[in-house]
Amino acid sequence: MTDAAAEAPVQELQVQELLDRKAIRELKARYFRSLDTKDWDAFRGLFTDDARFGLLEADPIEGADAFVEFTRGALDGTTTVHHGHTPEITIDSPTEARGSWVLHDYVEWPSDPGGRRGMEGFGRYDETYRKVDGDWKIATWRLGYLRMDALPREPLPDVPLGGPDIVREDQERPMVRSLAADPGHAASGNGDLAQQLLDVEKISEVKARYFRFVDDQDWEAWRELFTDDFIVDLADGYHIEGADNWVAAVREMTTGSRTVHHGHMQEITIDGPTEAHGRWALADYLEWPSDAETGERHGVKGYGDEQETYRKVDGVWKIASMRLSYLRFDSLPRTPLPERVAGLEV
Amino acid sequence: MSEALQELLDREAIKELKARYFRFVDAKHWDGFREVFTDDVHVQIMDLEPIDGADTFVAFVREAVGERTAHHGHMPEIDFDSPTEARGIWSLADYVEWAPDQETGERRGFKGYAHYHETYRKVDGEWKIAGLRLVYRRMDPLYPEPLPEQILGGPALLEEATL
Repeated sequence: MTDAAAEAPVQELQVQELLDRKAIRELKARYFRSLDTKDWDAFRGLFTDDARFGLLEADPIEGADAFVEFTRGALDGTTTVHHGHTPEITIDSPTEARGSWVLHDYVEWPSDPGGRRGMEGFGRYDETYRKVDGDWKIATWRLGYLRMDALPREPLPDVPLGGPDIVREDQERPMVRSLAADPGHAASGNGDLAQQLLDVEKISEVKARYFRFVDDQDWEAWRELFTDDFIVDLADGYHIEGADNWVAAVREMTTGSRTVHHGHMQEITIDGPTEAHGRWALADYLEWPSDAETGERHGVKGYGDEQETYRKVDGVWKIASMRLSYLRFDSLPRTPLPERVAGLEV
Repeated sequence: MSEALQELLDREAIKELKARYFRFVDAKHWDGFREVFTDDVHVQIMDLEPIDGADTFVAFVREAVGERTAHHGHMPEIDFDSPTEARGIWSLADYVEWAPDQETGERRGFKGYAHYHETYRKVDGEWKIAGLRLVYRRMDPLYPEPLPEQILGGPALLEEATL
């Protein structure tokens, strides 16, 4: 037997492990997405029937139905944002795996007469997964928090100040409530699976540059990330065709602002040698210069969902279309930030 | 092994290396944190004096990092220069808080937004961070008012949680 022939089964196993890791990351992406859109049927489908759940120091909850009931009771009617970061996943067998995730969550219950009620949390999940009938499911779930902050009681301003009109109009837009389930299948079909997985990586990096260049306001580099016929749809009518028009619009919108954009939990599917689609959770933070007279802050923090298509043009993946909608949109507090960081002695 | 497969395996390994970096710094697990770096790591944070050597850097972080921290990494961009050398860019959101001012009770700390520019080296089959440059895009000081002491509105186990 040649070396190459001996290597083939090993390579197949390695590719399978990469596919399993992708499937588990996308399982968790759907976990966050169905939780935040209160799509409880989809949420229930992510767990094995006999899953076990440990939240903080509470007694464990046995069974997926009981856990979904508990979560629904705690969160129905709330606005929540859950973003997951930096998974560490170990495949223990073809049908068993372990993983840990870092969590940033933001949960708000309806205000009472005293003001806002809710929390911002910084947590960590430790989970196990089991493959059932070809699909990975969460089999055990444990969530602990590194820190939990109670939200300040003071209400946020109703309407954000500063920036273009579209930012204020966004308050009127229907927020994302129900997102059609995307099976988020791993790369499939014939072809070279390793190459398809590498394409997924390359597309993720296009999106990383998308966020980095817009925050750097490097418009020439940013323009290169889109196909010429790029189309954007910002929920409910706001629609731009053509990459040049889109870049000009964003450039105008962000003039004088400081922005931060972070993408999370991508689900990317390769549809053909030059076609793909994907979905991202978004956190953005846009601030325009403060009011010159009052010093009040102008800006917003948004939490959204982006659905995109990608096309490979001359060997390079580009963003061909995007649909953006927001789960929540917070005006910045009006009060100016302190001028210096107390406690920072370095 | 195909080049594509090898690159995928290396990418996964580097992403999990950075995941451990974040997890260990927030858990103050300094032995684990030390292991993510090459012995001769070169570090540049903002325009501070550069730091050379993993032991020196770990001692610095241990001293300087806030008592309560959360570091979140996003959107890696990784490029390979050779089978044992790579470069990466990561976006960071961090939240660093020191004990409140003893006299006024005011909060001390910041929420930061930054980028890491890093290099990696494979040493004895394991990827390590060999160079780290951290540049903040913005750093918001915390508002001085103390946060409420209790989470309101949620299930009892949250209302009763120690913050």
